[in-house]
Amino acid sequence: MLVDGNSLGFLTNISSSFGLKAFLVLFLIFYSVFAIILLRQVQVMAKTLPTTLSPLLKFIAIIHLGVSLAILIFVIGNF
Amino acid sequence: MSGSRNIVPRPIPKRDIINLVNEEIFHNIHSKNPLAMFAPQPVGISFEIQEDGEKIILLLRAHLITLIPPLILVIFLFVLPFVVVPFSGSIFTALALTVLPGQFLLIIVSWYLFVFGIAFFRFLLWYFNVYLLTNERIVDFDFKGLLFKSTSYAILRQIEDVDPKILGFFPTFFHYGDIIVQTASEIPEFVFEKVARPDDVSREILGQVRHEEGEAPGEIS
Repeated sequence: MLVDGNSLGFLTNISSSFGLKAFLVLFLIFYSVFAIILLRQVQVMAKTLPTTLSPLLKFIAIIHLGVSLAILIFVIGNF
Repeated sequence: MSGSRNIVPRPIPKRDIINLVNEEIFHNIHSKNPLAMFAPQPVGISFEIQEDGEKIILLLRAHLITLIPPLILVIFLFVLPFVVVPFSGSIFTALALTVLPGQFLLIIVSWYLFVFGIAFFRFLLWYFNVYLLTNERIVDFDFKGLLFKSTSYAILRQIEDVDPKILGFFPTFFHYGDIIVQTASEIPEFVFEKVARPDDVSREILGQVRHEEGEAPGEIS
């Protein structure tokens, strides 16, 4: 069966935005995992070596994780 | 003839001056800076396995100058979109036409989140990679990667040799280097990497070892 070149034309329409979304979603999923591990490490290190800066570092790590999850949700919803 | 004689002050030997300065730095200064790379008797810092009566004499981190390469990387990544977008021509023009302004904003925000993540991670690597000298032992907190953390220590009585090393142009210029501590413990060698004033620190470690050897076994002072 012959495949008409125009029948695959929809691929060119969706490929750029779909590819971008897939890349961004995958990147942000991995990034969120990185942010979770970072938060966990900060918690463990702050317990091992408590300093005056530890609460601030924990706060930054929580905000960092929250922002990465929020962007992931926005990307899934907006693309 | 008068009985008074002219008293000529004797010059103080250089070694005594160094000892006096070290005594002043290590025992009379209490560092309150939480970001210090060289903190004698740091205030507000303790550690999980600290014993009663054990006090921190010195807290060390890698010299601040070692943060310059990651800082350059972060600055490079920060300005990259400003450099790449104007000079990339048709690729970004095509991309800008396929995505909405809100989506383009999300791409930019994702990029700067990534840059922030790298900066934060490199800072944490520096901040939590700590070496401690207490009146009982040396402690090495290693935080060398996302999934690597270890704590090792050796009591002062087990220390056999302390060897400071300053090698290279930048270490000589900024006065930092490695201190290799040979011990009789399970971990035969501790390396304090890229710490400031390695010679003074080595002298202080040896001073504490001598002081510890003068104590009765089990005594904490």
